[in-house]
Amino acid sequence: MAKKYDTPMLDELKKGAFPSFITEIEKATETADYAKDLLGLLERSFNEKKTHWKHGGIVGVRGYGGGVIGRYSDIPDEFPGVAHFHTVRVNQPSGFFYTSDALREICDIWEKYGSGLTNMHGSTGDLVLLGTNTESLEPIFAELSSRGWDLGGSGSAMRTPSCCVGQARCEWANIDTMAITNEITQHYQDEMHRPMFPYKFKFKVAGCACDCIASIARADMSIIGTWKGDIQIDQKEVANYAKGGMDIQAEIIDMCPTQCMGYDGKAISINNEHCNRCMHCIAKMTKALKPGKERGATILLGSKAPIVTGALLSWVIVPFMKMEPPFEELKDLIDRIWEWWDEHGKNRERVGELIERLGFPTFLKGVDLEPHPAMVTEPRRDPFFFWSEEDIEK
Amino acid sequence: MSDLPERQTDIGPPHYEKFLPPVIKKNYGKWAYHEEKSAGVMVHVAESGDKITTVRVASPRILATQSLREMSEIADKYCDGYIRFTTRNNVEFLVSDESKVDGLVKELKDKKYMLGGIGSRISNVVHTQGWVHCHSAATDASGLVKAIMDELSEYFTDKETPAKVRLAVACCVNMCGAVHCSDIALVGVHKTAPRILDEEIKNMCEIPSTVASCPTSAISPNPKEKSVKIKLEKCMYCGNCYSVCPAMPIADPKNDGVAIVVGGKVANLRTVPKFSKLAIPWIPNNPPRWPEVTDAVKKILDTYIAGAMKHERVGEWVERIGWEKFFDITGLEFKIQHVDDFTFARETFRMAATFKH
Amino acid sequence: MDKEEVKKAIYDMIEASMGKKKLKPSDVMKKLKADHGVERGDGKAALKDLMDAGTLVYSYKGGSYVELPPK
Ligand code: HEM
Ligand code: HEM
Ligand code: HEM
Ligand code: HEM
Ligand code: SF4
Ligand code: SF4
Ligand code: SF4
Ligand code: SF4
Repeated sequence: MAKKYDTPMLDELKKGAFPSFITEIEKATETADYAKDLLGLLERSFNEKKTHWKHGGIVGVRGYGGGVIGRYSDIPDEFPGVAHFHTVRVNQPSGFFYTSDALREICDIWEKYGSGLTNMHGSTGDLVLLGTNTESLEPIFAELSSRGWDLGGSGSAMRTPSCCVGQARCEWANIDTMAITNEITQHYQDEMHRPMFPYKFKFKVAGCACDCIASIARADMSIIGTWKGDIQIDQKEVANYAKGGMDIQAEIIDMCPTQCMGYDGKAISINNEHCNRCMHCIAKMTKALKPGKERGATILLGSKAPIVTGALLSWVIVPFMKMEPPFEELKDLIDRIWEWWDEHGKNRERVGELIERLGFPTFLKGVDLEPHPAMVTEPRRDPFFFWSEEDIEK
Repeated sequence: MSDLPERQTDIGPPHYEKFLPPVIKKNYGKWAYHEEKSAGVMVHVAESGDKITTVRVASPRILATQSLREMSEIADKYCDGYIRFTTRNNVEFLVSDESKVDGLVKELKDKKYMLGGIGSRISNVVHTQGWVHCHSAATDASGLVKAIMDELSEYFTDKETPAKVRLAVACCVNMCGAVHCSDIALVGVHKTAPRILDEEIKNMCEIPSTVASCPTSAISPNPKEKSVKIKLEKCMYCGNCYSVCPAMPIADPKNDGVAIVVGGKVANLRTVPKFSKLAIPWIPNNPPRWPEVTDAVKKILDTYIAGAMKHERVGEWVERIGWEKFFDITGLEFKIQHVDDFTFARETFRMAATFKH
Repeated sequence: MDKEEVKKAIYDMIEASMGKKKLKPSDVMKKLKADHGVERGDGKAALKDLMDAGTLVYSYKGGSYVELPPK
């Protein structure tokens, strides 16, 4: 294929062991012209050490307030092929499972109407189609939605929820992450497609405290599977690990953060009352140890990136919630939180920032949650707390 | 356009059950354990004794349709068409028929796929957008990822690290992604506030919305010039104003560069999730391969591998030895930028007389 | 107010806001409630109709707003 531009810098990045994004962009020049100008523009950025994009315009297809991100080059005259280069967010199936037929269906549509470039997947979770023009948006949406696909969220709306692989293929999943994610997504379609919130709201669902989806760092609401009751021990398998060369004392017992485990050279014992369910021992001895039998989730709220007021990780708001379909208790909590946020939140204020501004106690009262020691690492150090009317003797 | 099918709204994504291999449907929620066969192959065994083999390969995340078609064909041949992607953008081939695993591995290797990323190793790099599109990028993301993973590829395909090592790249301080909680992460940083092009602001920008765009209220109107001014000590180089007002360019090729932060994690295992902390405040951009950055990452990684106990994440290792020791043994210079003066600074001052010399 | 009247009220509100302070969807709902006593659910349904018809569009400027479609 004849190249439209010379790209010595980018060509350098085709070498090496790791799969090359430049090679991918070059492949896409075979199905549409967008990628040719994309390569030219990118070479320019590598030379000038400077970006050449600007924000813009379109946010959705007719009726939707999200799902499409408008993107324009800041030097369209030189690279007309990427003058428009909009992104379409397609809501991924929970757990990122596909069949080859499903992938080909997406490819057929995208080769016909777009650049042929995708992100599998965006960090929010969507299947991202990179690069098309304004006229193609409605046809793409008609082709996708008539085949059972829908757009994800963007803007001040519920963003596309996502989850770890969960019970589909992980022995540690305490909750059905894919079912929860699918249920939230379907139940709140309106909140996803028609932005109504002060700012974005993300859900991520992890099956256990390993948190393979990084929910605690990247979601306004992090749902993390856990258990109550005793860790199940198979002492025969413990012996097998020892036989296999594992130094159980050093690798497991001594690394237990709560020092609640013992090992007498034959069997493991656990003082479960003191286990904080960190998953270390279970993850290292998958055949010997299993979570306790009563399963549920810890609900945490509020993480966000550092800018403006400093980074937040989500923190506990519900220590333990049962997670059984149709997840009414969860939905009820979500509704209460959104209502409170909508009432008090300023424009572009994430729910975590709002709680910082108004105070965690105010939030707990506002959404009707009981305080619990699991919500804090320690009680307050200062004496400047408030009382309400009913606490005062008249 | 009359031949278009009829559009539907609010149908949501296809139900995941359509895409699950029968062995997963049958054993859903009933997996007993898994074994790592190699860096790129693991087997999950169900309580019923059924097995599913996963073969994981790296992906640059940006994929052309041709690549998706090729993967689909491979999935048809060995996996009854079943394929999935991971949170860190790896591709996983799901093999139900154990006898097909060797053939799949051979074909993937022949086609130059990079197998690995399972276990105590370096997995794929979570990253943001960079010069491939974002308007506030202080560095590129995909290019950095490629440069680093080429250098470290053996830690993906083969060599083990003391615990999982999670890498991430964000191309500016907005850090879209869990960069602030990674073992080793690269963050694009601007050193200079946006320039104010008074003449163009007059024509291109709405003054009130430009003033309002600044999260730290650093911008105020400059009525004399019909423009704005920036209080430099307040600016945190976020680039928001540039999104609103294109006459306030923030890109500064000579002063834009890369910072390295280390020691974050999201998993709860052993110790609580941690934020990453600053190791190196600034390294110049040197595309296409950023040699100074890859050298620094390798230095930190090598020191960690030499010093950490088994199962210890980077952050756990540094906390055990102390940050003062970290700077000592990595030979990284401790600069004024390392001392925090942002929101939670007070908590980082050493309020004790105990530390290592 | 019936739905057509609510739609008209929303449209007028947005038309008046163009070139001034942009309105978020929730601003629209709060104003509808304050000025006309319209409940949130009814307001949302009316806004949805206007969006589906393309009479109004969403925009995104670091937050989601309601605007008239570009010319
Ligand atoms: C008032 C001016 C603007 C400000 C302060 C601003 C600020 C921001 C911020 C902070 C974000 C990231 C936060 C987020 O994802 O929600 C963002 C994302 C974005 N902005 Fe802007 N921006 C402005 C103008 C624009 C304009 C004029 C457009 C296009 C017409 C635009 C399009 C986008 C897009 C497409 C994204 C990514 C959207 C998403 O993830 O939902 N922005 N902007
Ligand atoms: C190597 C190629 C690229 C990579 C690795 C990449 C990566 C990303 C990432 C990580 C995001 C954040 C999305 C998310 O996580 O949900 C993103 C978003 C975006 N990318 Fe890229 N990108 C690439 C190429 C492009 C190109 C060529 C364009 C268009 C010029 C583009 C346009 C966008 C837009 C508009 C968004 C914001 C909307 C969205 O996330 O859906 N990207 N990209
Ligand atoms: C030491 C603690 C951890 C252990 C024992 C662990 C274990 C595992 C295992 C066994 C899998 C395969 C699960 C499956 O797909 O069947 C997995 C997947 C994964 N892990 Fe972890 N993990 C740990 C920490 C982390 C951390 C801290 C991250 C991210 C920052 C992470 C990210 C991932 C990702 C992205 C996947 C792929 C998930 C997916 O397939 O959707 N893991 N992990
Ligand atoms: C002009 C500034 C910004 C732009 C253009 C921008 C753009 C983006 C884009 C395109 C994404 C991926 C799409 C998505 O998840 O919706 C994203 C994700 C994200 N952004 Fe920003 N963003 C900006 C500022 C911010 C700010 C100010 C914050 C924090 C308050 C922030 C926090 C995040 C977080 C936490 C994510 C999610 C990452 C994930 O889901 O893994 N961003 N941003
Ligand atoms: S978060 Fe837990 S349940 Fe989910 S994939 Fe990771 S280890 Fe498994
Ligand atoms: S889960 Fe963690 S705290 Fe509990 S016994 Fe195991 S290592 Fe100890
Ligand atoms: S980290 Fe910064 S430069 Fe990179 S994509 Fe996000 S906002 Fe853009
Ligand atoms: S770069 Fe960010 S902090 Fe600096 S003036 Fe612009 S908006 Fe304000």
